Amino acid sequence: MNNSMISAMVSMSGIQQRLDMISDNMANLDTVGYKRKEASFEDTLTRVKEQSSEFKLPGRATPSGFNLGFGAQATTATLNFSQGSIVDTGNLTDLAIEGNGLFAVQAEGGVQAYTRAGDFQLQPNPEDPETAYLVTNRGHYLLNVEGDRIEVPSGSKLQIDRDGNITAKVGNTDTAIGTIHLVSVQRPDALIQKDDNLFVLAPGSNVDDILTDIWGLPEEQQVAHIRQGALEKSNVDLTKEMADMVQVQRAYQLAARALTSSDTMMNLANNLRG
Amino acid sequence: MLRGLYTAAAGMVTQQRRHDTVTQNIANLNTPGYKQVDSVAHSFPEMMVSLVGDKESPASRKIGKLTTGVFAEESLSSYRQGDLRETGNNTDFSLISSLDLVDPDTGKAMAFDASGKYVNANGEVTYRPGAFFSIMDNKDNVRYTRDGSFTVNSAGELRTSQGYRVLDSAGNPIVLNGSVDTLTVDSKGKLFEDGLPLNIAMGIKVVNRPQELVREGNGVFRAENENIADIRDLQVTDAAELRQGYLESSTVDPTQAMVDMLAAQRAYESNQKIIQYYDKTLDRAVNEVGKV
Repeated sequence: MNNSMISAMVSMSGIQQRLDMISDNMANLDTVGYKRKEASFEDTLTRVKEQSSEFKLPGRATPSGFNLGFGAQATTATLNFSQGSIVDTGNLTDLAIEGNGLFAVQAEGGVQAYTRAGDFQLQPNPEDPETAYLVTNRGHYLLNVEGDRIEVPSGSKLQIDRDGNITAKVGNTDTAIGTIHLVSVQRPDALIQKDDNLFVLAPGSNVDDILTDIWGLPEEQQVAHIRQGALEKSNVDLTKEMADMVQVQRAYQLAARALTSSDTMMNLANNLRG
Repeated sequence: MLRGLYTAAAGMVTQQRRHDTVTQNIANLNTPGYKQVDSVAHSFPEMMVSLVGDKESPASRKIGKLTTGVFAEESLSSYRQGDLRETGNNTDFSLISSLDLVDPDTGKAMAFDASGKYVNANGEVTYRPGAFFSIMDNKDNVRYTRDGSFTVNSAGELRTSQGYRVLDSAGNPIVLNGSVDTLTVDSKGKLFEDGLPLNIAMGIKVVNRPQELVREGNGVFRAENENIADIRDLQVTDAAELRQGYLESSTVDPTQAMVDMLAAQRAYESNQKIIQYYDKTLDRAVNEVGKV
């Protein structure tokens, strides 16, 4: 196959992946706590067409060999952990994180995961109607600093301070229920974005390398705090995504044009004998 | 056999290479740190054509010089500075360089043109030196790149998007201890965490003869011979600096690429037509000469 055709084809599939990522970001424009993804590109491995020493003619600038590439491919998807805008909702179980932090949750099968989505709900405990659990809108349990589910008395009014301490108010009595576990991200590239707005650690990585327990740090080093009655919006900027999409689409068109052009050339070669 | 048939065939192959190169540029329109490649064509060595079998003159009469083809000689990368694009990502870096060289003949700084080339009075070409990040591939070979879209893995190692380790000025892979948020890098590549110096700097190298670098793919270049390429460390006085939170865009110009692509395709077509005309000539010679 013609080299141009391969390059055009490889790059079109790479650009398609980028478009998929942009549409994923756009689809999550209103997802609470969503973090946008960006794709990075690299040219693919190149092939060097060997040339004999006779090709080393005067005036030649580069070392021997003719370099040919095979297009570009998408390499890494980087998560952009910049702060989303915070909106007040007045709902007492809505929590927003200000700063670099993640809630620790327990996903299906007891898997430890992390999320920025603070639209929590109270789910009644099936075994004890007097209590309820604080869960995400997908039913994952929010965890406290001890790593346990957060159990609150049914019908209580929750007060959560900026340091994650929960107080349940039943009538006129206040009961301290524990502290929400909040971690800061040291190395965002080692987190993997999953469905249900969750992040998990890359396989084989050490938790302490990637995440730090915020409440264990001195006050001035605490990089994130919780705000009750508010939600963090997605950090997707529609204008930027649209601009990226236009760019991606034009690059795709140009690659498609190159494909057509190589096709024409193959046709010319085929029709040498008319 | 007619000489021109092979000349036209060589022309087709060369235009094909040119088209391949343009397609490669188009493919890398959005690749950070990509440098546009141009294919340079060169004619075949000239040969002397003489008349043989001429009884009048004792020695064969010389007709003149003729070249019988063309070939794609080299793929030349132009190390022009790309535009910077802000990403806001702490581990994205870009290099801005406008390094100068002193012309030994005149003692003055060379006046490089937009493509980074300087031709002196004798027609000797000098290319503008370039600044590169030094990285180490998976087989511990040192490579160079302009693509600064780095990531930090779970062990704290600074890596390129392809997974190659980024080297410091001493040639060791850079490993960070603290949070990525607290990492700052100054314009000369010194690393700071929480505002405190780490006493290491990014391994930024100046390649005085960048055209000696060989493109390896994955955004990296290799030096076939470090001495010929004349690679040295970045000095504080050099006109090159690093910007954190920015990426260097590809230097490919889509308009130029489109025009080059059309030109290559049409030149290919012209050569194809020439072959067809030769074919017709041969047809006449074979089938019609001597026909009764």
